[in-house]
Amino acid sequence: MLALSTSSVQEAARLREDLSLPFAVLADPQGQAVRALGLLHARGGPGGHDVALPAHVLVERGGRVAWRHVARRIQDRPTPGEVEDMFHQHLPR
Amino acid sequence: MDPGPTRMRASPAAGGLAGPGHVARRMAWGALALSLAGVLAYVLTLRWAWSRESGVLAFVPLGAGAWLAVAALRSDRRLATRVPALAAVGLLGAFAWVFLVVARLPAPSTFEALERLPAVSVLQPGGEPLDLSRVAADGPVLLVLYRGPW
Repeated sequence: MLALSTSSVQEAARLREDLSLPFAVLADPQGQAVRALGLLHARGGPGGHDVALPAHVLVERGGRVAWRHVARRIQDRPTPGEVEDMFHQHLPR
Repeated sequence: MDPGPTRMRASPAAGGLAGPGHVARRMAWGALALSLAGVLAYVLTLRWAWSRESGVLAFVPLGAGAWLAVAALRSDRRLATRVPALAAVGLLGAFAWVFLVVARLPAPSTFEALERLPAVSVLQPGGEPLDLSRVAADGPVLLVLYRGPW
């Protein structure tokens, strides 16, 4: 499991620490990766900062996208149970 | 015949203790308390997806509060009733505006058609670059996009 955010390496480290995340947070300070994923929310952050739309991408070994979810509102997130179901449904054991 | 001791009663027309104004004031304050409880219930249950996404724990008490507030306003228009009643109705409007309008996100551009992770560079926690298309080279990966650390 990995996280990605349009923040600096230092901010990504702080995000990981603040949320006690047990996985790495990758930094995309220029927003290039988020833009390439089609998930850029231009000027959506504080101070008009470009941020990512909240999303989950399940990637198979090799890089093919098996399942994706993007929030339509800030409070939309898949539950851990839904993500787990997608793992079992899309990834071969 | 001696009618006995008379009790002091506030005039209903004046909105005293026994009058409709008193009842309306209590309804108005009850409406405001109900509305505040709805907002608090929503905040306290944010970790539950069904509550966070539906807003039902806020909208039910907020709706009941607004209904109670309108009923109070229909029977008494004095300031002591108007202030809490209008606050209750305002809370419903403000919550609905934030929930339905402010929280709405733009549609993603090409994400729905994404078949593979793009070959772009991101930075690892130590600052080293990493090709995003290679993160699942050794096994499946769940990539979570965060909005930021604020």
